[in-house]
Amino acid sequence: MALLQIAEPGQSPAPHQRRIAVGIDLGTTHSLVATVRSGSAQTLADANGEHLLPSVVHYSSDGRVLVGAAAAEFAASDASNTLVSVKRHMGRAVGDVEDAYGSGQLQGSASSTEDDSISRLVKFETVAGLISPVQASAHILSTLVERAESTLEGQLDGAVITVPAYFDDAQRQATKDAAILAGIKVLRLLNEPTAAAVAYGLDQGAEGVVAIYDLGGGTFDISILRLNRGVFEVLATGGDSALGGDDIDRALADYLCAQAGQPKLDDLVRQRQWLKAARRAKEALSSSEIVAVSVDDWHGELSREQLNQLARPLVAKTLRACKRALRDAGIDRESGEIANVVLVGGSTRMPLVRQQVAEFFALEPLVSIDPDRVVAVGAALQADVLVGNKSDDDMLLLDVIPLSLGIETMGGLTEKIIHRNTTIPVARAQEFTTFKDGQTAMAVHVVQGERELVSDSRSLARFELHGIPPMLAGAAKVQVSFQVDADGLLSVSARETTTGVEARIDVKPSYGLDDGEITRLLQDSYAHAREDMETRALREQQVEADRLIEDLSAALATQGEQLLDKEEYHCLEVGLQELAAARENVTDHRQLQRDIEGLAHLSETFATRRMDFAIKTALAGHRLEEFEVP
Amino acid sequence: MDLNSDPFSLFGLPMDYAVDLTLLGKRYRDLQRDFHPDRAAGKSEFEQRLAVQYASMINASYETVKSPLRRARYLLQQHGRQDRSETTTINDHTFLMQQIDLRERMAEVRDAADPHQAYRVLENEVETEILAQQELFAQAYTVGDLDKAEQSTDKMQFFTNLLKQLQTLEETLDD
Repeated sequence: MALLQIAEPGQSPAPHQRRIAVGIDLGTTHSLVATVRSGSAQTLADANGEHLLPSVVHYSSDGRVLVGAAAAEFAASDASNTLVSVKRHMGRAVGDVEDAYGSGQLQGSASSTEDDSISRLVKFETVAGLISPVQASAHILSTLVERAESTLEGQLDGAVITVPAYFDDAQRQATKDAAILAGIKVLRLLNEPTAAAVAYGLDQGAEGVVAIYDLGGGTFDISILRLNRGVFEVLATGGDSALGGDDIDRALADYLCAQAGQPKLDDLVRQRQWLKAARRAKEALSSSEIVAVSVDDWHGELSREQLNQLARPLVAKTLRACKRALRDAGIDRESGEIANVVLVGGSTRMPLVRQQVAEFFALEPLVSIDPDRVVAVGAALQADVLVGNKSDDDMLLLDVIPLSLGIETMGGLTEKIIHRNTTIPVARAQEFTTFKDGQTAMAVHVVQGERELVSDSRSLARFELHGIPPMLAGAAKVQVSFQVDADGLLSVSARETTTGVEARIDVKPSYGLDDGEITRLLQDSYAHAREDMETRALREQQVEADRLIEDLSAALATQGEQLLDKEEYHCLEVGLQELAAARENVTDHRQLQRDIEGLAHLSETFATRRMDFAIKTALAGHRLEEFEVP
Repeated sequence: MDLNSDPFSLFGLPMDYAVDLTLLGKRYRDLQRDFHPDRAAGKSEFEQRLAVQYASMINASYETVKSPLRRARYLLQQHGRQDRSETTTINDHTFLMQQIDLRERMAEVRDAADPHQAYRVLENEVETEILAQQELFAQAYTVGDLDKAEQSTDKMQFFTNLLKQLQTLEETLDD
């Protein structure tokens, strides 16, 4: 069935300039950037030939910020100004993460109140002031973008940034905020195991059901996908966004410390010292049965079996998540349906992990692709498609929402509105009613998680609906629509259905930055690079203008006469010419943006008609096929 | 275009309880190939929003046709039956006794000698019941006995809810 090939909107008649797009794996312990060059995706190295950028940021009093290996050198010597593993704290409030073991010096939070959760967001105390995980992540992202721009000799048009599949809305939003802060145009937030599946699937031309087991530094994901002619359909995902190799390091550091007869690790400098020794020992034990360990003047040794003892409970936890994901996917482990298990993430180098995963799935896991790089490579492949470098019909990712979304009902219970593992994008509407005569406002509390009690779930946002027309109790019906987009991010809108009055929504995010805070941080970061920002913004708008002109011209050429009357057609033609002129002459990016928005608005009716036409063509295609197939 | 148009016709399938799931899956993927928001990346904000709406509608329609329970509810609604998924009560004595028995056994799973085994036995039983109700629905719907079809749907709903609770319980067995 070849649908819509004549009517593909946005099909470009002329070859356009290749756009620069990258995939970024923003990891707990290290990060990578990759791009597609001459047909193949590859990670990019820094000036020293290193591909892995340690996710470490160092702040000094003179305002200098170091990222990567240079920052890591200060991890023990200047511990409180060196932030590591900040990903564990993304979108998290003080108290959410059990402790900041080894991460940095957490801001004291005794004075903040329960409902003032924005100010309870994790921040670290450094000589450069309070630093949020979002800001630290933005520094890491900027470093990778600089690397890409100097390697590829051009400005970036957009990036796909990966997140653990099990990240909730707040953690995803925080990641997007970090990218905005770093001045990156985010093409998509992509789930890490899905990215790995893309890299693996396209490389091996695989089909069928695949399990991606992704154990990184600080997060664990399991995704079950069905690969079918370039479509990567996630059937279910599960995991733990605070479980990874870091936890093994910590357990090992505590264990070694006890062996050495040392007191508990309670200060940051000692934690970092012992963690470093623990990590080294763990890595060495992937190839040796026994290793020597020394910290300060203590010398000891550690066997692989001792490490395994410590790691077993953690691995068992990951396997329970695998079991649940398989059940949600409707796949029976024993049925032989699973074609392959792919290991992703540095922690899957541990022999214990490999052995237990192999046992669980009764399949020898695939380890032929570098578990550190595969996520960035997959992200680069999708970035290349999304930025428009590749023709449209070769690849499609259908992902799911990892955790159920619900609202608070009477008695502090949650009512699920969108269940976990529902394919995104997804929209659901829920009707609410007033319980008092003349009531003109109501409050809705949105939560995420699987538990019955609101107190056990993650609070995402509280919003109030205002402007409900006063009526008798129960007469006003407010329809609240929940929309989860392809990034897995939620937005909410509301309408009173008997009168059609749009209720105004005031969303108060429970976690994350509000627009005001983003604006302030952006101004801070660009304060000394104002001119650069203006130039960059203008170029971005010019790219936008080019894209709109290209898309709209193509659509007019193929479907304009069919779907528009003469006047409408003429109007858009004139609009196109005007924007083309503005593209060349306007130097103020704000003005150009207004011009673009003007033409985009003018073409909305045409866009809607093209979509409708496409759907109708699809329907007709089915009917036609009914006759064709005997 | 009405975004809530008949989900069966969206996939070019006859509105019936028997569904060719392979064909459904194929047509679903074909539609998403054309309408997924990834296809609108880089277009105007309006077109991206439009794509999110269309793709959401296609996903919702797919769910309705794919899930035996939702499909049954949808078909009943098309025949003028109210959606009773929220408010159902059942007056079938044998059925109620069976529900009580199943719930009591569910409460005992955790204390069983082998909780996982006890869970599997119960899960199997409930799944068998769900399949049986689907079969009963299909028979009743085919001969136009909507009352019977509705009863089966309600029971399907009960067993499905029970299965979900059972699975939630199982997830906590190892904690």
